[in-house]
Amino acid sequence: MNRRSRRKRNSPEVHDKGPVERKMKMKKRIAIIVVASVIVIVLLLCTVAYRVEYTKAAVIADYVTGETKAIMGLTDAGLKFKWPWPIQKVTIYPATMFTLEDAISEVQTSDHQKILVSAYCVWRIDNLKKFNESKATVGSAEEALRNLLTSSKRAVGGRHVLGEFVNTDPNAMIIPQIEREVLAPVKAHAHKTWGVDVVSVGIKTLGLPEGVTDDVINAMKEEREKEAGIIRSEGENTADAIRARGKEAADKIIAFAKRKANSIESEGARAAAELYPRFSRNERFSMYLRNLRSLEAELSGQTVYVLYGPEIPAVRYFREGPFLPSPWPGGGKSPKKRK
Amino acid sequence: MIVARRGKNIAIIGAVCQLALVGTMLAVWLVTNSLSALAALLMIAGGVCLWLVTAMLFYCRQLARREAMEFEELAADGRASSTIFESAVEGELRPAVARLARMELWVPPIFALLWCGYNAGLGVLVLRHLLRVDPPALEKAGIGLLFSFLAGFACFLFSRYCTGMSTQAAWRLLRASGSFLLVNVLFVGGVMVALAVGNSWPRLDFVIAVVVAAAQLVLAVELLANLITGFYRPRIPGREERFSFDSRLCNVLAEPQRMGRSIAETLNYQFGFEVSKTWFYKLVSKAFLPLIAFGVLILFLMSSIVIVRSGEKAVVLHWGRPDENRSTLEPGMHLKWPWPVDTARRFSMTEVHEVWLGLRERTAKEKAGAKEKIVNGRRLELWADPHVHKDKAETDFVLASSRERSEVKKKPPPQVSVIKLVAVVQYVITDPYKYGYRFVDPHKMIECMAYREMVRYCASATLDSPAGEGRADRPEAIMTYGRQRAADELKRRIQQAVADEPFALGVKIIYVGLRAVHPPSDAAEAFEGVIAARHQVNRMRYEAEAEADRGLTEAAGSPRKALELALAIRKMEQLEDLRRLEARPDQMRRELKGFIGKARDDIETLDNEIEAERLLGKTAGYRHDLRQKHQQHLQLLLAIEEGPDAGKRKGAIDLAAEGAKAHKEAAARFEQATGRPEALVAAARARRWQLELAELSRLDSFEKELPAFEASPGIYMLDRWLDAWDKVLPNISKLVIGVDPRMVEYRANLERRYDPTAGTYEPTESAEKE
Repeated sequence: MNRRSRRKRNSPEVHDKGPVERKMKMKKRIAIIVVASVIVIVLLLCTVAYRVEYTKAAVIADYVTGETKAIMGLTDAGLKFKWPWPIQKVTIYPATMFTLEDAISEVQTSDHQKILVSAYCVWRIDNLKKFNESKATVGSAEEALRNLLTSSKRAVGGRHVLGEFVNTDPNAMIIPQIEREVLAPVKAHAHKTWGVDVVSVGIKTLGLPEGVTDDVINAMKEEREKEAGIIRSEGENTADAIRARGKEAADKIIAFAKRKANSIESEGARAAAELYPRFSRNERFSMYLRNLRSLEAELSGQTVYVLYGPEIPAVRYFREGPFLPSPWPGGGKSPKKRK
Repeated sequence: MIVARRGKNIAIIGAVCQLALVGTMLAVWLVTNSLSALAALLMIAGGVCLWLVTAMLFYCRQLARREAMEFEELAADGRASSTIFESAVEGELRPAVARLARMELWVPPIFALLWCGYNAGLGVLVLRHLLRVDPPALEKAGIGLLFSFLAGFACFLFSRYCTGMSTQAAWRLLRASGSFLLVNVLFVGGVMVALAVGNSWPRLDFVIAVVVAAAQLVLAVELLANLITGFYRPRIPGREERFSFDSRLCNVLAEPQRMGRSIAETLNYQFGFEVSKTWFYKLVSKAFLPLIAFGVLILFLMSSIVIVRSGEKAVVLHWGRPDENRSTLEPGMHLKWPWPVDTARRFSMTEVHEVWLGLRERTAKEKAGAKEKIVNGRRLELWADPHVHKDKAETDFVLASSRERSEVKKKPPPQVSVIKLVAVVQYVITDPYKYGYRFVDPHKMIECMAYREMVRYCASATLDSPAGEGRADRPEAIMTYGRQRAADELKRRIQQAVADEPFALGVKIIYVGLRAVHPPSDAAEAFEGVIAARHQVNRMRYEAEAEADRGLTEAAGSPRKALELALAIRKMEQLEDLRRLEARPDQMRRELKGFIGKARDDIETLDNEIEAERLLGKTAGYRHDLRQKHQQHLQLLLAIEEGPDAGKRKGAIDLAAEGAKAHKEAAARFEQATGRPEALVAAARARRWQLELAELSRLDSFEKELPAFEASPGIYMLDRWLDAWDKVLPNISKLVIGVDPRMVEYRANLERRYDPTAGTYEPTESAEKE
């Protein structure tokens, strides 16, 4: 006992404490003991009790017997008990399905084309004991599966041509089959090695390396330029066809109209022909009158008429003196004319 | 001197303890991969320097005290006052005191500044690291837990010892380092908790790591504040100074009872009397711990109440086991066993979750070069500019291409197209058990499956051209007319993928939309060239139509009338031809085949025009009626073709009757036509009447003049003959020649319209004289 504690115990303050204060101090100590006991019990319970949830699975390793027991939460979830460590040890694993993606990596197809493919797989721990014995963790299993997936993806991709990945014919595009081919070796190896069940493999992204993308874009540009040229040519042809069709219809109508007009005109001729018998009373006079009308019509307008002076009756009178004219105008000679 | 030496020794032991704790945390981090251990390690490492600074200050005090004792001994011997420069050279004679003063003046603020920088820098770095990495799975947590407990417990005892010593003024220096060590032990406790529940709650490790890093930042801020306020605090002689690196927050955490005392002192000061002496304050003080325990109990009991909000469902697991009927709790208040017996998880059944496809993180170069185009306050998205959605860049999708393989290039590019495609998939949860308890990350699962379906769809889809013959629902023209079909088909496929076992996710896909579908920006110009060509074609078509319409309007008054009339005329002509060839069946069949082909071509042309008008948002106008008439004519021709040979059997189409009907129809339509045909017909009618009337006029003259002629044929003829000349000659140019016409040579200049004889005769001077 040191000097300070001796001094404290012998001090008058300790002796002056009343029974009420001592009682309270006792209560306080009891409370502390109760709380501490509860904490200790809870901690002890934590070492012997464990909970297997619906979405988990537990592996209980017994270090005394060397046995291992697996409990699947899907079928046997609930509160369980075990011996504390180091007799028994519980390891809890998730029993749900994991989704794992690999990196976007270059795959060379059998027709020497390069594509960028990323895949994913869905997996779960199938054989708990095996998984536990292999000392794998979820992280290490994922890393190993990722490597397996990438290797299988590259190997399978190399057996197929690009046209089997991308094709306008849905029957020739066999991505689902390629996915199954990638899955098969991954599934077999993972189950054998870690007791992991790889449920499915899917291609998540499909792309092209940068250089190839540039080439494809250039090809797309050329294709579009060609298409634009074709569209323009077709447009010109269409425009010509529209014009031709319009012209054809218009010409047809005009021809029809002309046919109709001729028909109408011929009706006039027919009507006129009906009058001709009435001219038969003196056909020659009728013809004479018709000639005079024709003469009037023909000589009207800009006409230059060259007259031979001696044939003009008045001039003949002037030169030859008066005489009776012949019955035929012009004395049987028709005047010359030039237009 | 003994006090200072003891303080120095304690500080050195503290540094060793702190170092041991650092080593332990380093080992725990390396063994378990615990992020919280890493964060705690970096925080604890700074405490070693704190202990060393404390030890250094204690050592200076020890030296100063030793020097003071020597002076006291000298004073007792009477030698100290013998110097005549006593006051002037006191500093030189007492170097340890002067050193102590300098050290206490400069070392605490400089160290506080350095420590502040250390905590701030590492706090930020750790937080950035935590936000970037995925929390790794914990390994060998049991070993980590054990060593953490041993080291933490030892440090806890030592820190309590130091904080106890620091209640004495002589050892006050130990308060900062002791309380900091205790805070470190608290964080080590946090690491232990994270390791203990790492299997069931792996996220806690990350949370504790964030808390430790945040605490470092808070400590840095406090140290900076201490430093700044320390400069302005008045130094009162005899009053104990508080060093800048002595954290009040650490003190409070290390000794919570101090907080109570501080509050009591504040209340006393504010109210002006001893509040802490009142019965109420004493009652509260006594009941403080029971109240805290009661609060904890209430919190524990509250964990047996589950409140499910509207639109939610909750799943309750009893010791981690679900209900046998897979029942869920509906909205409302429910009771359950308290944690950890029952655990409840709520699921929002109405919340719409989104998965974006076709986006990736932007590179630093893309971020630096990104310039949004804003027009009228709104973002403008053009094909030629790289788009940004939700602060992410678009990725490429590979599409099938029906492009012809280039024969010019040695190594042609693959038969694919590249497209920028961004899609959004929206879903709601329908089955909480399937969604929440079958997959570690159901949202990621849906994203992966949606991507897979998208890749599969695009792998056989074309960009904007038809895929060719095949099923009607095959993927094609994803950028143009097949866009909506693509969205619908993707929705169907994704829904099927997430509903089928073993990937039934308990969700319903409510919407799949293609947010962006466009060519890469490098190819955008060429694509826009195609669109420009289409516009150009439209313009050419409009011009041609306008020109054709002008001709048709001229031909019949309006394009509609003209086309209908032309069809009627053609119909009439064809039927006439067929009737003419009725006797020659082979030739008639050949002719008929040609007529049918022409009719089909016309219908197809009209269909194309109607479709073009529809795409441009215009009504097809009279083209529908015209098409119907063409169709009727085609039907007639087909009936003629399919029917028995005319005249041989009953049931043959009567071509004569049909021809008459067609003629009648053409005539009727022609009557309605205006324009040039109308003018032609009118002119013909005029000529017709002109002809008849002229003949009538001549007949009339003949009949009236005949009696006169019969009376005197010669006179009447001469009279009429001269009348004719009199009528004609005055109005025309006349040349009268008096020589024998046989001697005259006539020359006419026909280029001169009104005087053809001008220039043909130019009289010379001699001739004039003659």
